[in-house]
Amino acid sequence: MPEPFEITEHDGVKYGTGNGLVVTMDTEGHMFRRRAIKGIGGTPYRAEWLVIDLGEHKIYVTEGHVVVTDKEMMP
Amino acid sequence: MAATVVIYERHGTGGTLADKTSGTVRFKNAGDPTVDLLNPLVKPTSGTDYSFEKALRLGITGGSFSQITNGNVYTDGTNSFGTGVELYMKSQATYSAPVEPSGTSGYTDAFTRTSGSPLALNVGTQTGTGQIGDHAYLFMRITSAVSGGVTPSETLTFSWDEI
Repeated sequence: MPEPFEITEHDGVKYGTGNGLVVTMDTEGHMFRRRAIKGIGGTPYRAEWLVIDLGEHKIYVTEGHVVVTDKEMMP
Repeated sequence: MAATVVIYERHGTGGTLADKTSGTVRFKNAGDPTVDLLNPLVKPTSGTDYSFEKALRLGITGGSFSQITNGNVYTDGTNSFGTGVELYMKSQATYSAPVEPSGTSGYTDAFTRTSGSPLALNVGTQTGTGQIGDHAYLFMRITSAVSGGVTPSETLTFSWDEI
């Protein structure tokens, strides 16, 4: 089961840690979790994403998958 | 540590909470959250039969977080209940006891609400515990084309942003 990413900040640099990854953001932008409970009605499970929003582009980090896109994505 | 987020099903005149985070939501001809075979929808010889509504809502029970925003609910976009089974959904800020609707006015086909076009739950910016955002009201409608028995399961996704 994926774990929620932990977001920390040190000297103006943000770190997203979880699921065996450390994502470092050393630029202007927003880092946040996008979380979901999926499967309501069946077998529920959690989706845990880390999102880096750089304005025009966004980076979505999940378990073993990184997506760089200009689109809004949901778990 | 992230927030502990749950899914409630509210029922009754007072909106009693049933935790459905790991559970099944059963559409039937009664307003209670119990997953049983009582009060089933009845295949009509013509026309339709409506279930009672289900009032689902996000809740925060604990954990450590700064804020929660951007709550949404959506389906996978594919109706796998089978022929003659429809599911409708709307958001509603204020709780009202689930009833058996008489039409689909105000609702949309739940399967048009996908990750690309979710139903917004108007969560605002939440910093504490408790129920948050609009309720998702859903009901099922069956037609005379439906097959008997319990339908295959379908699933909903509740999502939110969190820092």
